[in-house]
Amino acid sequence: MSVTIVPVGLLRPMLADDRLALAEAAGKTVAAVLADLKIDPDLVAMVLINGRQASKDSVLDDGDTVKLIPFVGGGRR
Amino acid sequence: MYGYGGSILRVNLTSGEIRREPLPQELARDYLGGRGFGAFLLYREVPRGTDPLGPENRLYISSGPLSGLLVAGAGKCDVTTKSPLTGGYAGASIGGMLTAEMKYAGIDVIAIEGKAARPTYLYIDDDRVELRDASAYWGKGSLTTEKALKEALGESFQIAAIGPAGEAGVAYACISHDFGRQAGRGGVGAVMGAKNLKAIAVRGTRSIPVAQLERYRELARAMYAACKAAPGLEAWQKYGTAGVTTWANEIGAFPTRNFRSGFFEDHSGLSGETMRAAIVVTDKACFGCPSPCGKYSYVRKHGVHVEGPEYETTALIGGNCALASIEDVAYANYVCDELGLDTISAGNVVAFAIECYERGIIGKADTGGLELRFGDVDVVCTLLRQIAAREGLGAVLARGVKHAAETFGRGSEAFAMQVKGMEMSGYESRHAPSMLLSYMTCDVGAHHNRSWAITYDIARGRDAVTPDKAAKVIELQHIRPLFDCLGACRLQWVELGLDLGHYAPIVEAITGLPRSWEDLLTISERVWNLTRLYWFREVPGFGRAWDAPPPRTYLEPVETGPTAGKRTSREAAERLLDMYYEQRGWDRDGRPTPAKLAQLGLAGL
Amino acid sequence: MHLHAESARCSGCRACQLACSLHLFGENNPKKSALAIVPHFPDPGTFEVRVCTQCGVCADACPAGAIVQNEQGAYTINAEECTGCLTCVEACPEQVISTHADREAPFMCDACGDCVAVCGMDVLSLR
Repeated sequence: MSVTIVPVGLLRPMLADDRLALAEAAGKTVAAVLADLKIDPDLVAMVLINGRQASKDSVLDDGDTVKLIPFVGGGRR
Repeated sequence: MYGYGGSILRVNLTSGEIRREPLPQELARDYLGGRGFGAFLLYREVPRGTDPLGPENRLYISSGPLSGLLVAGAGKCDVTTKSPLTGGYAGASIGGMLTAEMKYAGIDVIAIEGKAARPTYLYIDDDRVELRDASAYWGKGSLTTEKALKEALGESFQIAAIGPAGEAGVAYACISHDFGRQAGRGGVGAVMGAKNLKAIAVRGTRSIPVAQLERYRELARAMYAACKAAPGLEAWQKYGTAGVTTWANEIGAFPTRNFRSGFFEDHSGLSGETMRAAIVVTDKACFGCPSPCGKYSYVRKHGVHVEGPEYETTALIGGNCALASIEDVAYANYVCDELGLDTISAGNVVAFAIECYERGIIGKADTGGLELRFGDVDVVCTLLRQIAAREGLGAVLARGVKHAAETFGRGSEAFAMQVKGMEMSGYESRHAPSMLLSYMTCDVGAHHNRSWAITYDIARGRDAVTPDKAAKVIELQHIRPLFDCLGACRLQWVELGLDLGHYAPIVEAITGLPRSWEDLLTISERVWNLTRLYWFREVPGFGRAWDAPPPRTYLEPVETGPTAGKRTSREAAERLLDMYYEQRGWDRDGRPTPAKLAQLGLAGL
Repeated sequence: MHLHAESARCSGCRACQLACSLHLFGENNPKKSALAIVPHFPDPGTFEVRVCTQCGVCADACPAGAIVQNEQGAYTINAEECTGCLTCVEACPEQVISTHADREAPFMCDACGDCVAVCGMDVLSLR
């Protein structure tokens, strides 16, 4: 089992895949995983864990799907 | 005229005269609609020095060429007037169904002047327009009034109403519609109240003609398809703006305890997910919107229904007053909605009063024995009711935070969070220079909607005080209010990433007038300069000093959280302003130069 | 083949009604549409969606035989045969046969699916 990271929109080019499986992420916070992946956490507007909004302090469980949603328009670029 | 309702409805409440004028083609060509119409008519028709609460002030309610058509987010209406809060330009945006219904009744602008002798409501049923007695509704809450009028007239009528706060002339009273939408800022509700106008009821059964039917239908389908395919759609539909709360705390931009901090230790109790699980009943949309941000809720703890809380309310009544429970914030939201109070200004003013009490600047003699403290929903709601009734401390607070600070004195001006007399909205910006500049230069006062630039600070580097930040603010101040001219919502672009390239083609297919996106932005720049001229005309001594940031932003560092210790120096703010004026083609006092005005077709004003 | 609606998801936006009037008449007018969106506000704060189920009760009820199925199998009102008695409007169990001052005959859903395409909340489906 592992944690699946799903980057959305502008975050997608920052990762190798549409859905990235991380074998060692269970027990880490979202913030720690973002640091591992070298994604600036401030660029992540919303974190969804299994479809529900969570925070960057949330601790991940085995089997979680984590969707990372950036700000898209409105001045981001 | 393709795409437009075709007429300006003139209503004189003093004489009772009602007449329809054809919408001038040049007005549509040069000012597009919505906020553009409001700004032009305000400048042209309301004499310099008019009392905002006097009969000579006018209220302009304007739809746009996209309103009521098959465009994602075609549900926005502009309300423009001279502001009783600031004495300058007020332009507020309201969603729901009103703008569409006006178009179906063949109306682009409802232009209201004068003052009725008795409480009145404006009744519009296609061509039949009447002024009707509203004494049965006067004194009632805006939600109660809407419900009563829908029962009396029928569900097919769209209702806009004020509450007791508007009747009493509270400087930040709002206009309410569709059980949870408001034209919130600048005291537009007080202008209605001063005219003895309790409500407007509209029904329209006509069709809106468009110039190129098949092209329009094709473009409309593409727009909805793009929205439905947006990767962020589901999250946005689920949480709406409440999804911003967690992020704002994570970046230290969440107003807390009168903007002392940008981080609220109990923010998880206010998050979008907490809210959805606790209270949300329905994802409620404005006209034509595929991505409903409205979170219609039932608050079991207090037994009330409310649309919200939206992010701003969660920020200004939640974090800013340190309320840790979303149910309590929702209840206070409901109280504001019934009373007809802008939740942003109200939350800001209440937090200011609490800080004054904590510092001993005011005491129990001023509060009638009530102890003011952060974190107490009963304190918040007591003050809201006092404000609406203009009683006790509410008599001072009802005039806004700037006036309250002038009244209380003793250094409280330093922490009155306002620009131009309007209370600052939901982004603590001491470590976000673009956002701070946005607040300084917004054309209604310290509101975020013209230029939501904080993500640029994050992307670019928060410490940078550089010309590109001024450029970004200017760019946003042209793009975002363009939607207010079009009569449509910008959040499909902002939140779903809808390509801006959708808009100019569909405007052309609807109106038949060939215009590029750049043409549309020019209109927006024209309107921006016009509202700036209005401030110079109406406010004695207006100039650079009125773009100044609130003193707290440069005097005190953020107390806690991710931005703890940060502030933006006065010198940095002045530098931002210099860069901004230069790039705008304004002089060093922030006045549009003759060359800039000529370029925009505003020479001679 | 007919429309199905999950009312609980409806946001009340009315894009469906606009798409419908554009399909039926080439006009922008939600009041000339063949599906109903009924708000229940302020309490409980939900929208009720009623759509044509192609049940055929209208056709049975029509005294003039003016309601027949088209090539796609959808019931449709033949305006020329219609006498304007409005029996169909009353008979429709979903109350989604409508009239408008501009139109001589009532009108109804022909299962075109344009409403489905613009519904952002996956309320509507055609099957």
